[in-house]
Amino acid sequence: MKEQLQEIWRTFRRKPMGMLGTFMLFSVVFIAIFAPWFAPYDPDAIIHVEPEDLLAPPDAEHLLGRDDAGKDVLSQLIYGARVSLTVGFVASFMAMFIGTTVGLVAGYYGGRIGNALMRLVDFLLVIPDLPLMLVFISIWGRGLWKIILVIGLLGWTTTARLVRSQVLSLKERQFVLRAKAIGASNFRTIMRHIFPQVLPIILAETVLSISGAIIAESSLSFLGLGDPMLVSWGMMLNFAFERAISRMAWWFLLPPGFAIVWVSVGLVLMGSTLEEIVNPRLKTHHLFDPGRMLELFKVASPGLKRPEVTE
Amino acid sequence: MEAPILQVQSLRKYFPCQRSMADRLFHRRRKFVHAVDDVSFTINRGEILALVGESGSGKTTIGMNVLGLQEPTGGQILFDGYDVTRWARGDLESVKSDDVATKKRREQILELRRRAQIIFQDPYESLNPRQKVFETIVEPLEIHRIGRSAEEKRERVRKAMEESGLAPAEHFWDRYPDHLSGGQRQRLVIAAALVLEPELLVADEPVSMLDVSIRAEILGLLNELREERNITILYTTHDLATAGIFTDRMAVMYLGRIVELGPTQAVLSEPRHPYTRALVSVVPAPNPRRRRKQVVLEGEVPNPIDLPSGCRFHPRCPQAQDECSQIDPQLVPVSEDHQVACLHA
Amino acid sequence: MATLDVRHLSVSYLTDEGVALNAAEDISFQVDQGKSLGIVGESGCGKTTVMLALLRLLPEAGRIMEGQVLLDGEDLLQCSEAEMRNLRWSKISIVFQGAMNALNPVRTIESQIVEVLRIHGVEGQSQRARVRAGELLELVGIPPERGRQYPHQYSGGMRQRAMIAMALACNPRVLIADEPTTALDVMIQAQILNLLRKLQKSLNLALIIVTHDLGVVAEICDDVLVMYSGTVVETGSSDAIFNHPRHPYTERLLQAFPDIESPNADLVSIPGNPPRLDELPPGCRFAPRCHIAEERCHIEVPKPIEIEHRHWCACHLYTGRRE
Repeated sequence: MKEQLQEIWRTFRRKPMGMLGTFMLFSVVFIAIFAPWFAPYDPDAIIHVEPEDLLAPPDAEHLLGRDDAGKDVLSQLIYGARVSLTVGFVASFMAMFIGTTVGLVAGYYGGRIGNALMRLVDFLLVIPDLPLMLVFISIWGRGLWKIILVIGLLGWTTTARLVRSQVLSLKERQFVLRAKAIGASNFRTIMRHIFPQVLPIILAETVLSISGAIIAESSLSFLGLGDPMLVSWGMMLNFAFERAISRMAWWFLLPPGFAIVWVSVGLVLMGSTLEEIVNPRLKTHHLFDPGRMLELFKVASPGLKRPEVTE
Repeated sequence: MEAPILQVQSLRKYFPCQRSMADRLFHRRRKFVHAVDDVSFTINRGEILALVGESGSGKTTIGMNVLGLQEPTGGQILFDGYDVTRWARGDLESVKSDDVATKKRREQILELRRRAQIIFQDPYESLNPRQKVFETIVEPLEIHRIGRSAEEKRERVRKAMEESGLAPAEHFWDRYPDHLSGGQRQRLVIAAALVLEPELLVADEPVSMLDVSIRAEILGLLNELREERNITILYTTHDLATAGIFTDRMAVMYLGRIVELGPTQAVLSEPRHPYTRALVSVVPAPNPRRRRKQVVLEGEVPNPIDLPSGCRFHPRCPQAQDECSQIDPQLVPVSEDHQVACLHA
Repeated sequence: MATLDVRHLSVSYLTDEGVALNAAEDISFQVDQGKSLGIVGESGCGKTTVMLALLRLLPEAGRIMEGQVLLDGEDLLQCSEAEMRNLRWSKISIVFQGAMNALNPVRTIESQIVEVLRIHGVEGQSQRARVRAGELLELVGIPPERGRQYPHQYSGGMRQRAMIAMALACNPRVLIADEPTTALDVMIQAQILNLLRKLQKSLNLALIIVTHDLGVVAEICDDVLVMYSGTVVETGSSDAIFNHPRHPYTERLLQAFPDIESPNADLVSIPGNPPRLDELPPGCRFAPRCHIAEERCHIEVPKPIEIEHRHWCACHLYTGRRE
């Protein structure tokens, strides 16, 4: 597995778009982790404000100005990254986990279980995500973990479908048959033989879905359903829309939106590059080894011999 | 005289054809692909039997059924006295139960999986690309819980690799299959089969996808396994010449039936069935001076869904006569151990 | 004059890093009209690369480094792409390896042949084109009515015949068949070989068969060229190569081929593997696996020497002999 990841990395390194996306994402992650060092002010600190400080435009001491409560926008932006990224990563990993499990089970076992699971997937896919999330939060209440759960529990369907379709074709392959022939149990066959082949695709899909999760959280917060105790970018947008627009305080309005776009674009660049690399149809693994490049030029045909590979 | 290790009796395997809407509407009877249609043979311990035939003859299907990887439609398969057909699907999960009888059955399935192994034709497809060489070979040991310590397992793996020619073992252990050549991959598959010390090996066209210069090694290896370990081998192939090199007996198949069965050399040098004669005559000979009389049959093997009446071979048989389209010949002995299914052998 | 005269052809592939991997080196051979040449070698020896180079159909990374390909005296390597397009199929044509699986599944066989005829301007009107397509199918042993069927309704052998019909559509002088029988059953293989033999005679083709199967070559080829790791190791008449092989590789290759009439002969295999293109040995490429290699073999590349009339061998066993 480690070698596989190394191989992927080696190809990935050569793709400028992917590297750009990685930089975009990790720069934000880095800043978020070391927020106390980057942020000029502590957003939780109680400060004394004068009326003219409210929605003050940018100046030397407050690079992005101040918000409607007089707090430094830049610091909020930096700390807000923590919330958005955390929700994005955790919710998306949750969705990946559920989706992978459902996809593996539905694909491998098929039959009634598979059908039932796929009908559930269809059901969830048909209902628009955001309104459903809205309903859940309204009933359940607000809070960080509630948001994570809602996004995670509703976001697994795409992964499930993707994994299932991969599993359907994988389970017909000869090495899976050979595993059965030596006596492997279903569990072992799934975990040792099928799952490792699907893993790269899941990886690519997960990176893409993190961006979706961040946007989902931002949307919910923007609509006022975020955790009231934490400031995320979406919340900032929420306040900005309510209170800053009339005053044309662009310094409060634009940065969070820009940050969301920055992270999303970064993730999408990374994710689509990864997808390109791991797409089984492309089968790019031979590109790692110049001696095997010639396989590209041979026309493959069932039952025909493949070229000999030397050590 | 001990009992044969494998007895196949009247084996049938039909695959249902998909029915179209029209078929269903008009209540047409479902059709079947008669992949294997009443095949019987036995193999004694330490013997190598060749199952020879073109595509559609059923040879690969027989291999799959013998190991219980497919469920026979009819007939019986006895492996060392145990009835394989009863536990045919080999699906361990479907035997979950604490009931003593079924528990025994689950153990029996595992036992079959340990004592009988298969080697497939395609060395590129039959290996998990994400498993290292060592992991592939140790996996059967883990499944069957053989080897009490990691050290013992390593030793067994090393031994299996040395026996199949992947030596020095350490040199290959950590590699992935795509860094191995086709011949090395087949050796890897053989090692993974040998590590369980099986008694029966089904080798399904093991060399047809390898270069000619590598084939001899692999076939030599199989022969060695029989000499040294008394492993019984069921060798399926479409290549008569390789079968002629190292097998003891040969069964020639056509459209799901055995048409000739006997000692390999007898079948090759004095074929009694017209199909066998034709096959032997067209095997390419590596010598342009040798001009033999080739019997090139017209047309192709018909599809196994709508079988010809009477003798299956009669539409293409150069010696067909009237009764051949009426009567379906059975395998009949023409000498001590040589059988032919032909009305005019 | 030989119809096809290939002289000192060398082909390389460029990797992503710009390294040139030499896939075929100093390939020379001739094919006369009405004769057949079998190019024999194991997978990876470069035989398909050479064929693609002849037709200037190499993939993007392929580069013809040097050589001449004279078709009726005209050097194909000097032609423009437009000229090549004219020549391909009309003068020199190919049945690709596995081509029978590359038929368009949603069009009838007849329409695909008609398309070839139209593209090459052989028949303009569709009626005449269809008739010609029917003739071609008949030529390869397919009843013309079956032209209206789709590829999935044809068996493997029939599809191969259809591909041959397509390749012959414009009456080429040279026909190249790359592994024409490899994926086919032995009986169908015999049928296809008979067909190729018959077509070669009746159409007076210069036929090149590229294959790893020595038996195929023995059946229908007049001359043989043995390749190993991108180089020609031996070339001569079929009789000479099979009965008096001179190169150690050819000898071993023949010994590795099972003969149904000598079942007790020990099958020999050649230990080791062909060298990787990025790790080519300095001297003879077969030296690392050769059972009689000497020091010279590892240092110096052997040049082809004519040992007997029209029997060439590139091996240091014969270098230094002037016959």
